[in-house]
Amino acid sequence: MANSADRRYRAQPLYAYREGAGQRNGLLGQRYGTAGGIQRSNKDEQSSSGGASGGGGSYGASGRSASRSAVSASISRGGFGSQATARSGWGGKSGSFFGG
Amino acid sequence: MRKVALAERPGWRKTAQQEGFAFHTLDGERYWDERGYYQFSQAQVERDLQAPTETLHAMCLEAVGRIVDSEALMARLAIPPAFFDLVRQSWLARQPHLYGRFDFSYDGHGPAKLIEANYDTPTSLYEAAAFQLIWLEEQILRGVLPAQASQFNTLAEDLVQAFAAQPGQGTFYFSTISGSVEDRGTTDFLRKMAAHAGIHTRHIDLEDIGLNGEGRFVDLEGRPIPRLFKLHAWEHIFHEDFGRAISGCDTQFVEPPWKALISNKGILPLLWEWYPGHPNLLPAFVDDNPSRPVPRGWVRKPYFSREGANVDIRTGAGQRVFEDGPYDDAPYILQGFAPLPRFGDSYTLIGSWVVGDKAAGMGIREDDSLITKDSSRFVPHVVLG
Repeated sequence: MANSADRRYRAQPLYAYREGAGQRNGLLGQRYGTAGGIQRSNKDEQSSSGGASGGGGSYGASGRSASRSAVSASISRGGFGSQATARSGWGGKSGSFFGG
Repeated sequence: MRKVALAERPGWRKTAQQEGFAFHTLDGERYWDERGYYQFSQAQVERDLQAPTETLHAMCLEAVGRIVDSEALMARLAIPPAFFDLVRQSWLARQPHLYGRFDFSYDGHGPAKLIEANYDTPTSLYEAAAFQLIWLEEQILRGVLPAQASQFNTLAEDLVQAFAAQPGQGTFYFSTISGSVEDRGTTDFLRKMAAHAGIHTRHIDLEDIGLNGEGRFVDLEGRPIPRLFKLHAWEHIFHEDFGRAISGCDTQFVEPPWKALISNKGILPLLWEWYPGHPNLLPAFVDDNPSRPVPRGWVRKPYFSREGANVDIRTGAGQRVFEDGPYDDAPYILQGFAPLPRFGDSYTLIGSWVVGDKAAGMGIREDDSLITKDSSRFVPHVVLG
């Protein structure tokens, strides 16, 4: 179990990250930010809808995977998401289903 | 704790675009807002935020252990009986969790008060973990902030370590409902952190996940999904077609089903019952008559509300602040009203992150109203002194 007494808040600048023997190698934000950020490549993407387009739209499950139907006729899809899409359009402008 | 006005970095929008931070502006309104920052002392962070975060996290885990032993308590939290075993077994098997966020009312004085626990599907992660850190680094490099300025923010490091500690083998899939740039930003950032831990990852839209004839969840190519991070609430899954297939599948879900007990606002009355008078808790009770007006000095919230929806505040002076929404089909709680502190024209909420079992950082949201919503502005912070 976590014990806050066992973990001192790090007083040194947290933006400096360390690797290996503890030497400072660069800036954390650049490591996890600029070095790729959350920019996506097309590699290892799976979406029958073309990916997130923004604006809070929602897609019905039916017909989304028709182009992949040859994979297996015994695979059913669209069994996740209906409850969230039914509640979309509330609570803000981002189109997030779980924002906050 | 104080708010400091500051000029925006020239070109920050270009930086945001380069980073893939596509939701910095929402419908022409600022979401990321660096026209000021909040400054905390190290003592405030350690004493008032970090330590209570880890204490409350431990209390929540303790509560989960008690709840899963009682079908009456799971029923009280509106867990469908068909999923009692799934939730209980996920806890008994110690299925690993990844992250969560406590939202606090805190003004720099006195104990932070827990408003709610976002322990299943928290967002605002990328901007807390990375973009506010980039802001700090650039403001130090520009000489605007002193070199010793820091942040309560080890989120990225801690997430990488947490992913490295995740059990299991094989590709880690990250999934969210298509159509939301913000939700996708969260899963894409988590995916990056997993990749830093050496894990092979893929994205799949939630609606594209398949269920094959053997009861296994599969991707669009029909390949089994061994590990799945889903930005999708368990209380939704419990009522969706594929929910019934989870107990018999071999996919490791993150967050695990037992997180449904902590993200549920019904846990707040239980915490108050089991830790009465705890300085970081607010009085909370199940609302046995949600049709009556909210009493003065109380807040009515549905068990499963998100984005501030369906929250109904009655201040001590009798003012009503209400946010409409779609979460009106579950029980409600009444929670003592702890007004968010006001800085200028904005009400300020502290989000304190947990990764694994560690307090890992802070994100701050501002809104023009007492109810924080998904469009509420994100403002960076500094720890100094």
